[in-house]
Amino acid sequence: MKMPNDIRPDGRKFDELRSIEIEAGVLDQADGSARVKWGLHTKIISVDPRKEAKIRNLAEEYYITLRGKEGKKLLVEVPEKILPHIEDDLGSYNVVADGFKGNVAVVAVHGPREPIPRHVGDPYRSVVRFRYTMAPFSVPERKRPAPGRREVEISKVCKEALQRIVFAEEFPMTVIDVFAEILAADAGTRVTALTAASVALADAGIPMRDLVSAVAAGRAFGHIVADLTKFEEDAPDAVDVPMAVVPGTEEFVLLQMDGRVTKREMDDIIELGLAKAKEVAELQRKALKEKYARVVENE
Amino acid sequence: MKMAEQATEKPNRWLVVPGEVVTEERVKLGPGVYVRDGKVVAKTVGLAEVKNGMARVIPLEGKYVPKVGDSVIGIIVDVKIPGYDVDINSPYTAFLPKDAVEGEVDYGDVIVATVKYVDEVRNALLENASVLKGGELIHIIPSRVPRVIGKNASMITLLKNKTGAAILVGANGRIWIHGGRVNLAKEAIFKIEREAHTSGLTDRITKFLDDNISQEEESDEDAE
Repeated sequence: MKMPNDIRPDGRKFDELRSIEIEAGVLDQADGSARVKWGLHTKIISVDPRKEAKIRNLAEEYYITLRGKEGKKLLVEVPEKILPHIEDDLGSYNVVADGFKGNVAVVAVHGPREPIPRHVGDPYRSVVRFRYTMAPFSVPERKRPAPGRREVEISKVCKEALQRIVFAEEFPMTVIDVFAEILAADAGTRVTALTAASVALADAGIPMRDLVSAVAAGRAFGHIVADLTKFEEDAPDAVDVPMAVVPGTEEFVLLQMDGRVTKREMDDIIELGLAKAKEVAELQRKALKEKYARVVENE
Repeated sequence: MKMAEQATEKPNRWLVVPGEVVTEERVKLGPGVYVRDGKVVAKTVGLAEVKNGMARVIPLEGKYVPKVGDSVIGIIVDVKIPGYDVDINSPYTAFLPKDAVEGEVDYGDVIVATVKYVDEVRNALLENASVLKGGELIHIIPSRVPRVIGKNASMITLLKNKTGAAILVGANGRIWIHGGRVNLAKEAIFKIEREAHTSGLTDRITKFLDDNISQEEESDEDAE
């Protein structure tokens, strides 16, 4: 590989998260809501069409994508951070627009509210329900909108993570409904959804032990890395470990793994994920406080 | 009165989110906090306060949970033989027995009542109900009701005096306004709701009401 040893295919450092923007209170009809944009800022550039073969070569190594044609020019999406590293290979190009490649999740929380159907209610505690859905346009190929095995699984693990942190016994015979809609996906949607969901729960005023901060870590192209992109997830040696942490106590409320690792690598992955989850927690707290700061500024 | 409110508002109320440490000292636990590893930690988004040896978080969001003695504003949603089912803007239902209300009550009526009893799954029994006729009903976030009432009812007295409206505030976040400058009262209440987490609110509301009233009078004069 030609690329410098300490740079990932999108230009990030090994332990660097993608950019994360969180906003609390985005929906009017929900009791609590949040939107998370979690991804890479990119540039859409136009290059000479004769370079198509070269671009395809570069795309083997870097996280760049052909975005079609405009007139006679070829449009290519390149993460901002990798652009300086491949400028020499690209030759002359024009920046056409700014782009964003990553995950977007919007989460609405309704409740605590009356359990419907009545039999799901528990006389001792509030029941958390989590519905994870992906928009058909969230991935390159149209995703069939019906919830499949993957969605059911993600809904279940996220539900269990949130059930662990709410003071459910304060609202017997109620349900807390969490709806997570993925509008754009690029690896790590469950951690994006869960990060947004815990902000939305706090925004709904539901008593919680702490926020839940989720992040993925793993291995790609021989390195232990934080927050894998789709490109890295498809690496031949890829390991993806999404996890959700209670930042105050360092408890894990979600831990899954895809791929094979040695015990030592796993320890490194967990350690890295924990540190990064705490970074996410800081952003979540900031987002919640900003909602109230906004009100003052508007006056 | 104004001085008194300023004095209680100023000292150390700050915004916290769930999981944030309120204090590491040993203090009594008020509402909205719990103990984790010997530290007092916030449960909800709200304003933290440590006063007189007690830590608490005043929530800024959340649903209404019925409490004995609360005065609530409800809407009749069902008429049964022994009484009425009442929507009290809560995850929990309320029941109003027929003998706890004077005169005829019908489906859709708005009532004000007191919570007499709350059972083990939080369903409420109401008493002392009376029907509210006419007026307007608005909703605010229930946890912000105390700010609309104010210390020793200072805020609500201010609103009533300046707008000349009859205002009835339910602990469940429903507010009934009748007569006087209804729209001004509504705007002021929504302003209080939006800015519930800020200090010096009474002064700003006084100014807001005075400004609007003087504007109104000016335009009246112009018309003449």
